[in-house]
Amino acid sequence: MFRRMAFIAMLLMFTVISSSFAACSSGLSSSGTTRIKVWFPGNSVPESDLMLKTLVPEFEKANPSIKVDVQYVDWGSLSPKLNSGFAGGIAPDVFGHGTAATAGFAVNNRVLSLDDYINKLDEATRKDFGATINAGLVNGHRYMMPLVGDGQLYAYRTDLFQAAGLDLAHPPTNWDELQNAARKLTQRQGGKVVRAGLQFGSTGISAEGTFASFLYQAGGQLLNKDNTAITWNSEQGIKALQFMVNLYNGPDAVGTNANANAALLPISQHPLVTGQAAIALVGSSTLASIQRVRPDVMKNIAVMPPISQEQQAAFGGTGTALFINKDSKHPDASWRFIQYMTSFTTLQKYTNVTGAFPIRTSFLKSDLVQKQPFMKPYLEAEASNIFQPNPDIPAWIQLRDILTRYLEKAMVQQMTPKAALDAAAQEAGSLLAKK
Amino acid sequence: MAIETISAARPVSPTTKRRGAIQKRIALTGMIFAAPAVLYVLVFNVFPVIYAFYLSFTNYSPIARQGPQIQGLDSYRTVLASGQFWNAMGVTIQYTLEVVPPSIILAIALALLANRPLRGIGLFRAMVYLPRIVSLTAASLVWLWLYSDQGLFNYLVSLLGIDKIEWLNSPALALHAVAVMRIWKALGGNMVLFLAGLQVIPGDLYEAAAIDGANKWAKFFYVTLPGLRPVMAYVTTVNIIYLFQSFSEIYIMTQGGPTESTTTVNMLIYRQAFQYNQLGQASATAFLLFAVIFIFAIFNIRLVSARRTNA
Repeated sequence: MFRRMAFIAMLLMFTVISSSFAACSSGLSSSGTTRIKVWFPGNSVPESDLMLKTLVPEFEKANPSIKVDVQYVDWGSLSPKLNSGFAGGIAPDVFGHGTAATAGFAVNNRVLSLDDYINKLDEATRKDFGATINAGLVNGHRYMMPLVGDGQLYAYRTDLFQAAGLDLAHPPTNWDELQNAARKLTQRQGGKVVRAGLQFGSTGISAEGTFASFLYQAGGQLLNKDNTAITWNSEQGIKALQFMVNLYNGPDAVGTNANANAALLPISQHPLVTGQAAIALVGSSTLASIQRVRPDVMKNIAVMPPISQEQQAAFGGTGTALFINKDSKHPDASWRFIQYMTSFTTLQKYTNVTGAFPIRTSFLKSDLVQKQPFMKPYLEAEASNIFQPNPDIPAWIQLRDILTRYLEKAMVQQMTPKAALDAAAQEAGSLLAKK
Repeated sequence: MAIETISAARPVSPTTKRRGAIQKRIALTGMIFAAPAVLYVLVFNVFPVIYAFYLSFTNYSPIARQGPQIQGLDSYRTVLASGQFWNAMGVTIQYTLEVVPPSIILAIALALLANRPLRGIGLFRAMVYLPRIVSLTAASLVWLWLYSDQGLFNYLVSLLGIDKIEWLNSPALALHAVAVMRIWKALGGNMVLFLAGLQVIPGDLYEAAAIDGANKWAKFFYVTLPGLRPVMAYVTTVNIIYLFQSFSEIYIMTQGGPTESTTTVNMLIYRQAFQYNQLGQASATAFLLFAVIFIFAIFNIRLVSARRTNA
C-alpha cells in the first residue's frame, strides 16, 4: 500500500513537472499568445521599474498577441548566464549585451542575422541610426540592433575652471591644451596630488578605454584593418601611452590612481562631485546620475567636445545592443519587441531614466538636449562618427585583458610604455595567431 | 556452510518471518527518506565534480554548438606553462598565509577574553561574531568604501597627518588590504570554535598545573594550547580550504588588480570559464587548485597529528 502510494505520488510529480517544462519550452500559452523571454543587462532599479511598469505593459497593449517576460541580469553575470542558457537550450529569445560580444555569438551561430529585418526598416529610420546600424558586422551580416550609445568624453567643473583663470568659452581641444589646463587645475599638498587636474580610468578595463581614446586621437589603431595583427605597439601607441603615463607620474603629475574605483562608489563620492577632480573622462550615464543625485553640482559641470591630436576621436560607439537568439521559436515577435525598444518614443523614456545617450541622430533636435545639455557633445560625437569602438573579434576579451595587464604595469612604472606595449603585443599576437 | 545447514534444518517461525518483513520495510522506508539527500549529493555534488574532471580533458566552450572535444592533457599543459597561473597560485598562497595565522592567533586571544565571566561578555561575543553572519559580498562592498579615497581609513590616516593611501589601487598594498578585511571577517567564526574548545578543557588540569606552580603563561602553553589542538587542526584546515578558494572579496574589491597583484586562482578560473569561455582550461585549473589544497590540508593535519603524538 505504502509503496503503491509513493509510486503514484512520484508519477503525479513527474507528470506535473514535465508538463510545465513542455509549456515553458514551447513559449505558447493556452490562449494562443506568444510569450517571449527577454534578458536586459544591469541592476538599475529605476530602469527595471520603467521596463516592467511602463514599457512592457505598453508594448503588450499594442501587441496583444505577445507577452514579454523581462529579467534583469547584472552585467557581471550576464555572459555566464547566457552561456549556461545557450548550453542548456534555455537562453532568452531577446537579450541585451555589449557590441564586443557580437563576434563570439555570431561565429558560434548563437544569434540570428538581423539583415532581413533591418533591410525592411524605412530609409529614414535607418539613416537616423547612422553608421551604428552597421555596428556588430560579422562576415558581412548584422547581428545586433543598437539600443543606446556609450562613449567617454571629458567633463569639467566650470567653477574650478573659472577659479583657475581658464577660459570657459575655449575648453582644451588637443593634448597640450588638455595637459596645460590640468596643470593649472591640479592642487598638491606635500607634493601629493589632492585635486586631480585630470582624472581618467587608469586600472582594469577602464585603462584600456582611456588608452584607446588617446591611441585613436594619435591616429593609431588597436588591431590592423582585417583584425589579424596587433598594432597597439605602433609609434602612435607608444606616444599615447607615454602621454597617459606622464599625466599620472612624476613631479608634474596632474592625476592620481586614488579614485580608480570611483565607478564602484556611490555617485556622491565621484571625484567630479567631491571636487577631487576638475576634469574627468566619463560616460553620459555618470553625468545623468550626478544630475539626479546632486543637481547643485551638475550646474557647474560641462562637457568638452572630443579632443583631437592627429584626429578628433574618442573611445565609444554602440553601448547596449539587442540580439535575437538563433534558436528562438519567435523571431518575428522578438523583432517587434526590438523595434518597439529602439523606437524614438521608447528611447526618449528609456534614456531619460538610464542616462545613456540615445543612438538615433534625431535626438539632437529633440528636447533632450534642452533638458540635459550634457548629452549634446555625446550625441554630436556619435552623429559625426567620432566614437571608435574596440575591435569586434571573438578573442577580443582575452586580448583586452592582456593589454590591460601591461597598461597597468606601465601606469605604475613597472615597465616603460614601449616595453609594456611590445610585451602585450607579443603575448596577444601569439593568441591571435592560434585563433 | 554450517549456517546454511542449521537454517535448512530449522523451520522458520511465522514470528521471525514477520520480524524480517518489518525490518525490510523499515530499511526501505529509511532508504526512501534518505533518497532525496542522496540524490541531491549525487546530482549537485558528485556528478558536477566528475563532469568537471572530464571537461578538464576537453576544449569545451559553452557558447559553441559542438559539445566537448577530447584533447587529452592539452589544458593542463597550457595552464602549467602559463605565467598567469603561477602568479595566481603565488598570490593565493600569500593571501592564505597572510590571513590564516593572524586570524587564528587573534581568534584565540578573543576566545580567551570571551571565556571570562565578565559583565557584558555576551554582548562582546555577539559583536565579534557579527561579521560572520554578514555576507562576504556585502562586507566587501562596505570595506571597498572604507578603503576609498574619502573613506574611514584615509580619514583616520589624515588625522595622524599622513598623506592619503591608495589602499586598493597600489600593487604593493592591495593584497594586504584585502587580507585585513578577510581576517576581520574570519575572526568571529574562529573565536566561537576556540571558545567551544576552551570550555571542554577540564578545569582539574588547570588546578593540577597550579599545584605544580605553573604561572599563567605556563598554563596557557602547557594546558590551554594542547587542549585546543584538535579545534586548531579543524579551524586551520577549514580556513586554508576556504581561503584557497577566495573569490567574492577579490571580485568586488579589486577585480584581481592592480597589475594582477590580487588575482587568485579562483579569479583566474572565473575569467577562463566565464569571460573567455574556456571551460576545459578552467576545469584543469580547478583540479590543479584542488591538488594544491589537498596537499596543504593533508600537510596541516599531519603536522597537528605529529605534534599530538609528540605531546
